[in-house]
Amino acid sequence: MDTSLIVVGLVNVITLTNISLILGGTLLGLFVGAMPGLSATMALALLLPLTYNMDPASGLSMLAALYVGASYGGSISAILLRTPGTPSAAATVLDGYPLSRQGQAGRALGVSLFASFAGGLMSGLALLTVAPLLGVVVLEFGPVEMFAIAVLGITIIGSLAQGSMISGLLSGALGLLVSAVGMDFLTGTPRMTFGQINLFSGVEFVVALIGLFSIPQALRLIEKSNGAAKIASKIADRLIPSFRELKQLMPNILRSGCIGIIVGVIPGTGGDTASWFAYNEAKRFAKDKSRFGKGDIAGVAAPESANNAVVGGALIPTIALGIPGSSSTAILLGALMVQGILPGPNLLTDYGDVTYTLIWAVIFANVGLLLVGLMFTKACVSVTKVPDAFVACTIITLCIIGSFAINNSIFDVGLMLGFGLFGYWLSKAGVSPAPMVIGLILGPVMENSFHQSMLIGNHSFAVFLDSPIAIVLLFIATLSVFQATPLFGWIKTLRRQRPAKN
Amino acid sequence: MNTSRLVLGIFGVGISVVFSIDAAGYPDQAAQMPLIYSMAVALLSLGIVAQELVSLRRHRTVAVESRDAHLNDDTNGDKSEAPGRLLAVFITFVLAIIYAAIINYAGYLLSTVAFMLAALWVTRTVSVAFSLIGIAAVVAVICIVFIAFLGLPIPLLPTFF
Repeated sequence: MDTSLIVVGLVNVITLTNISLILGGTLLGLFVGAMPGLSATMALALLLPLTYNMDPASGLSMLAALYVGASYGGSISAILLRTPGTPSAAATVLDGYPLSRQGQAGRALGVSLFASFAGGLMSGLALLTVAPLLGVVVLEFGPVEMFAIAVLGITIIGSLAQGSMISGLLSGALGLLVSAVGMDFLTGTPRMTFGQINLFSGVEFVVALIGLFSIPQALRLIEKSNGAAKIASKIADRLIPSFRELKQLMPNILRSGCIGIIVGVIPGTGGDTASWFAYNEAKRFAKDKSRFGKGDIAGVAAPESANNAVVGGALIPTIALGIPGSSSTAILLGALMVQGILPGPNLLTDYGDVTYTLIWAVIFANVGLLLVGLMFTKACVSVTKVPDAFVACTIITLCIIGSFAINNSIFDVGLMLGFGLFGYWLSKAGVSPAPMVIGLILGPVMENSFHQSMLIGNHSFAVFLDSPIAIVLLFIATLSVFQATPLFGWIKTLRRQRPAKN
Repeated sequence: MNTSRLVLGIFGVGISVVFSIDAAGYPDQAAQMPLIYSMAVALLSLGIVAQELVSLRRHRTVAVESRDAHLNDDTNGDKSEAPGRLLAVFITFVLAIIYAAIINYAGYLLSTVAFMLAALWVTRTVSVAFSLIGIAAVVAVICIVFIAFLGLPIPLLPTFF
């Protein structure tokens, strides 16, 4: 581990510009997270074109802060409106809303903020220590192992995505297929371009990202908008929790933070899984379980600590292996790609200065979250009341302007709208777009390492069986695909029936 | 049965066939990965189609059994969404396409204001006062960030004058 790069990353972050961008990004994330129907992923996708003109450290600091801010912001509408602002705040509704009905909205929001800060900080420190260690191991990997990692990444993300496993895997495979569009880098052959010169350089990743994540969200908001006024509970009590209360909640917060980090590391899982897991564990460890669901403050602290801890956890495989752990980290990886930094094991070496800047930005964003949260949580109440239809129209406008800003091309805007429509169709079909985006990122990595491996192995597929690491990774990948088939279900049923017969 | 899923499955098979046919004209090295990806997409799409057909068969069996048991029970209808909202979604999307097509000619200010006004009128859930103040704020913020700060080459005013 090169400690000088860690210092360089720290120095990059602690400039006046970057600290301001971190605070600004956190505030924006707070507002986005507080608005029901908007997600961190969507906000990151919309903000990505803004980072083109910034230096990598500034752009990444702002995006990381937005991600952290939105993870907490989701709890504001969960507690005040009984509607989770983000999917990862769904578990917070169970005890957060009853607390606000009891006139303790400030207490619930305060504990949520401090738990988010603690969970986020824990995950930031885990990221700073674990990612470089894993990165050292990955440096020993060659093209064969990298191909196996990419295959494993796409199959795990596909099989763990929301909806059925087959749909998740299909989404990932579609992403890989779209990544093949454009000029082949080995032979210079244009593939699936239909003579369209704009497609020769491939499908712009950010265009697909904006379309798949933002347009469907806007269309869904229009679909559910009914003009009814949103009624939010008032914050009448104080926001800062007492030291005694925090001390009592600390074991719960620390346990939930660890759960968040571990769940975050597993590609394909996210804040929602972590928060429900942490909520259940908090309930299991509680002395009086009957209070859960009726306004137990531990039921707010656990999911909030866990969903913010996911941020750092999900960045561990993203940084160390180049495999994004979630759709949000895929966008952060996309932000690196925009700056000409390709995902892979060299993220922590050749591009270590930028990567460590991102890691430090996550840590500083959590500190910023505490400050911004204390100052602006009450202001978020008014943000939650903005009508859905207006938010939707604003998103579409930003999508069009943002996608135009990438290459100053109307073709990109059309492509973005096409991806948007496809994303809306995917949501109607209950298919997550996240594996598709990850497939788009991993496609070139997979193709590149595949060709290199075939050259090493004299064009024999046996090259993938020469490396024990690749064998293990490909075996796990095969297993994750196999469990999506009906054959796996039949085997499970047979195994269940056998003891019954005996 | 989810019709969108069934159509997605059929679309997946179709797109993989198109990719495979197109890949037949590439040199071997360039065709390798698109063919592998196409095969994966085709197999998974067929899986989705099979899943939906099985679910349709099950749904029909359950519906027949339920009809036999409760001849007068009419609770097995498909969940349908409000057609008015879906029409609003469709019109807004068409407006977005028109907005993207005219922005370079009508200019950022006119096209953005027109798009937002039309889209908000279609959805009919936002008050006029909120719409006007909101549109002014959004147009100003985007103008400052994207055109003034990022220097986006979009004309502010119509180019046909």
